[in-house]
Amino acid sequence: MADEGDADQRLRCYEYGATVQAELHFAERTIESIETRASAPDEVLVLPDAEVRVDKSSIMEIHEETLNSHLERAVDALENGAFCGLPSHTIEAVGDAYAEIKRQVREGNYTLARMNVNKLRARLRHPAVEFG
Amino acid sequence: MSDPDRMGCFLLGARVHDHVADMEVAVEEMEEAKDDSPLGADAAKWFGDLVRQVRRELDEAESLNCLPDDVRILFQSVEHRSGHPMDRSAMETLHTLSVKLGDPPLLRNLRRAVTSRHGEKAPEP
Repeated sequence: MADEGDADQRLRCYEYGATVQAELHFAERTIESIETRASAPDEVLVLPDAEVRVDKSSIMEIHEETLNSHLERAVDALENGAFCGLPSHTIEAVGDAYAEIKRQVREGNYTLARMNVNKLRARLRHPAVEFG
Repeated sequence: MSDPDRMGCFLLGARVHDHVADMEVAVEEMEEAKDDSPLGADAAKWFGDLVRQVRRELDEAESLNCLPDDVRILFQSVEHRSGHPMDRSAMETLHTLSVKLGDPPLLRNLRRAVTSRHGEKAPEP
């Protein structure tokens, strides 16, 4: 039976793993949104308390900022969860991919960026991750 | 506790929430395929397979004592609706489960953008 400290660590490891995947999933969906916006005209954004006209470049900027937040959170969760024993090369791979994905989005290579996020998701759910 | 146990918990968290994200996609496909029964049936089968897969993973997480209570409760709520049409409440529960551990920054960023343009305090989400 795990003591209280062990139980807490296990729960934290579950939550870090879940956070990484959730953030990568959001990152993937955000790239899809950027891709859609890239070919759309200027539009009106409606928020619960205000209606404002925001031009396309501002929307793209906001989405890119959102994408970066998701990727940063995924990297943070991986780094904070280092005590869970994940191989260091997996943590490094996500950090490397983060810079690569940001660059691909900036250059308009959305399909490639989405594929790279998807590869990270697959890497984290594949049992091979356990064996390096 | 040994490293394999902690890593097992980490990987289970990753797998469960990866599959939950897929469940959301499956629901979207079911909705889009309303008038196309073969496609709708495929998406429904995918959804059902994912529910069973997640159930196995949650059982495994429970056996390792690393299943958060709220994840278990939220999933049970979704699981009970498996095989039935997803109503709005079920969709919201599924989405809550999906975002539970994240803090989606999109709305926050949009609000900040509006605030900076209007010089007003943004309402809290």
